[in-house]
This record gives sequence, C-alpha cells and structure tokens, in this order.
Amino acid sequence: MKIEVRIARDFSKFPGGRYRKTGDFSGQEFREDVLHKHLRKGDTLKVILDGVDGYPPSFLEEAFGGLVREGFPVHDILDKIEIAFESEEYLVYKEMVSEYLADAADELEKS
Amino acid sequence: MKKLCFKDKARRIRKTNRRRAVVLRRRRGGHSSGVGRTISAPRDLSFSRNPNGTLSFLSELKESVFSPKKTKRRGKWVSKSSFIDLSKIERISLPSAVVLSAELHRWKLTKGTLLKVKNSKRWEHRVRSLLCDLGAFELMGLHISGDLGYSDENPVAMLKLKSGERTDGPALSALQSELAKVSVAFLRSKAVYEALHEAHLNCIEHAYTDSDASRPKYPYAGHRWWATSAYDGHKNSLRFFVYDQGVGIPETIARKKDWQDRLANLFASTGLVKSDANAIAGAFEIGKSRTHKAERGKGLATMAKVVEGRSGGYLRILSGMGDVTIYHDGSCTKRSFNSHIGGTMVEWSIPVPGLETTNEN
Repeated sequence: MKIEVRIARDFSKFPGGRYRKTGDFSGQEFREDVLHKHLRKGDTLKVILDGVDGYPPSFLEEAFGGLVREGFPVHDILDKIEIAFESEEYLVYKEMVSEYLADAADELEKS
Repeated sequence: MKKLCFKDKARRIRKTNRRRAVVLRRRRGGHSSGVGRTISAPRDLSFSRNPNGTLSFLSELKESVFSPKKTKRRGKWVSKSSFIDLSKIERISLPSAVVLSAELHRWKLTKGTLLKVKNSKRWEHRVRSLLCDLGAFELMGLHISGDLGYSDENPVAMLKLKSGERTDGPALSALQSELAKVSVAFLRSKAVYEALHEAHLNCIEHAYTDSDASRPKYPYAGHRWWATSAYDGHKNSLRFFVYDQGVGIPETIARKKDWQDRLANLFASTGLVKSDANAIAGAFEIGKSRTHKAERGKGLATMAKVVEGRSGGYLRILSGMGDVTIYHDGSCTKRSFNSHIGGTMVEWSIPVPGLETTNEN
C-alpha cells in the first residue's frame, strides 16, 4: 500500500536537528517514528516535502542517511520511499536527500 | 538615664559613624555594604571599535562573578559584592549588547542571585533602550523602563533575547514572524530558518565541553544558546545573532582529529599561519567542500549560504580569539583579538532589498 506522508501535516512544520536529545522534531524522530513505522509494515511511502519553514541539513541527513547506516540498502530505500514536492523551491531538498543517501552508502562501504 | 561606660560610648560612636558613612555612600550612588567593587564598562562597548576595552570589561565582569575577591567582615570571610556601572557607555554595538545580556543571564542562572546595578538613571538613552529591548533588565531582575521605540534618532528595532538548551523550531519561526512585524520588507526565508537552526545545533552539540581534562574557567549555564534579531535602520539591514559561551570554534576543531588534519592540510597548501581567525575561516572552507563527510560540516556551509549572492550581506563569526567576516561574494576579512571572547557569536547581516529579490535557495 502506498502511504502519503506530508511532513508539514503529519510530522511538523518546523523540522529540527539531528538527534532527539537536541530538540523536538529531529531527523532521528522522523526516521524512527514515521519512516520505520511504515517500512516495517511493508508500506511504500510518498514523502511530500512542502509546507515547512525549512529543512536543516542535519535533519535530512539523519532521517535518510540514518536509514542507510541502520542497514537499509539504498536501492530498497529508493524503491520504497518516493520523495515528492509540489513547489519547485523544494527540489533542492530532494537533491540533498539523494546526496545524503549516496554519501552514507559510501561511508558505510569505506568502513 | 543610664550612664554609659567608656567602652559603650566608643561602640555607639563607631555605630553612628558607620551609619553616616552608609547614608553618604547611598547619596553618592554607591552601595551600602562598603565592600563593593565597581565594574565600569568602557565608553565604546564594541568588538570592532574597541576590542581590548570590551574584552577586558567582560573578563572583569566574569572574574568578579565567578572568582570573587574575599574580604573579612565581622571576623568572617565574605565575597566582595560587584556592581555593574554602564553609565560610561556612549556607544554600544549590537553583538556586544547580546554578549553582555547573555553574561547577565548566566549570572542569574548559575548564581541564582539578582544583580546590583549602579547609576542606571545615568545610562545613555540608546544604551538603556537597546538593553531594554533585549530584555536585559528582566534578566537582572530590575524593573527599568527605557524603550525609546524605533525612530530616526534610534533606528534599531531589536527583538527580545531568546535562550534555550535545545533547538526550538517554533521559536525560530517566531523570531522571523516578529521581525516581519518590525520590518515590513522582511520575508520569511527557509535559508534563514536553516542557518539559525544549524547555528543552534552547533551551540548545543559542539560548543561546550564537559570533560574533566578541560573544565571551563567559568561554569556553563547548560549547553545554552542565545539568539535574537534586529532591524538596523543605520545599515538598512536585518541582523540575526546566535551566541554561545562555549570553548569556541578553534578549540572545538582542535579536539577533532579529522578536522584537525584537514585544517593542517589547508594551512600547508595555502601557507596560512595557525591562528584562531584562520582556523575559523578554514573550517568554513572545509564545510563547503563536497568531499567532506556529508554528515558533518554541512552546518557551517548552510550558515554561510544565507548571505551568498545577497549584495552587501555578510556572515560574521567571533569565536575564541578570532573575528572573521565572510561576505556575499565569498571574500573574507580576518582579525585577531588579544583574548578569548568567551564563546562564539555568529551574526548574519542581510540588506533589506536583498531579501525581496534573491532566491533563498
């Protein structure tokens, strides 16, 4: 089943930093409470980026790069999570997610 | 009437004299304890125009709070009271006002005592108004009004200083909303939100150290950030400030092996000498590099991105003993101080027309 996750509506309009300990609405919180929940059920996701105040890079890196570090293969992530946007201004964040996935995979391979 | 003996008479005279001295000192604007130490601010409180005077005032302030001199009173050793006298300040810069207010806040948080202020009625109006806007008086537990409001004579609208130990997205959003109220030209910007967020994260995650090997000279008020913003009519610009009282960027880098190696390589390839200012500029250069590990270092690049392409905009970082300004075109100026500023101050200055025309991403 394809589930639509609108970050501004279903998570927060104010994405935070990397870890839960540093503040609310962190990348870790989004990964563990939203992405994991659906991925474990075998759902595929359409994550819509629009409507937030901004995305700190730490948030995006921890949310998506963190999946790779947890052992999800990049191709699985790309198969199961579609990053979407309605306004062109969010294109840059989609590109950042791709970059972080690739970098996390590289780092994992090196280590 | 009971006849007093010589000893009692002498005691009574001494008591009367002490009371007279107290009354006299109060009339002169001093404090009654008689063991106070006055810390006077310089005429120009500014890291740019008067770095030595400003740093030495701040250092004296911290020293008197956290390592107070003791004096013997009625056979007991007691700490000398300290008074802050800001009446000499004729000019005060926004970054130094933020640093001073944060210092007063730390005083309140760590000591739990209220501050004593000298000659507050004689402070320069604009100084009083700026500190009032920042909420510094509330931090001192004083009820002093002095807000001049925004005018041609006082063309700076400063928002109240916010502080916390965790990142706070809604508070950052509120900071932008409040600024939009005082400056109609300001449009909310994702780049500003992200830059402020990364600066806060740097404060919380990297600025402070609690290891036994490097105990801070003065106690921390938690891993805390202070933030505010202002519309500066002098420069027709919006200015954002994030401050922490940590060890500073150069010291943070020195503790991280991968950063240290990269910085050493950068210094070797460019022929730069080792200094705090060069370390700060180098850290931003490394942060921009695509080859740097993605999960770290992007925060600095995000902080610099806000001013990129905004003509007249700049990002200024005062940290450790260095002062670095990175301009919209990527050029940068550096200077060194004689002593540590006591943390890291990050300031963004964005010209108002730039906010309307530049693509934020």
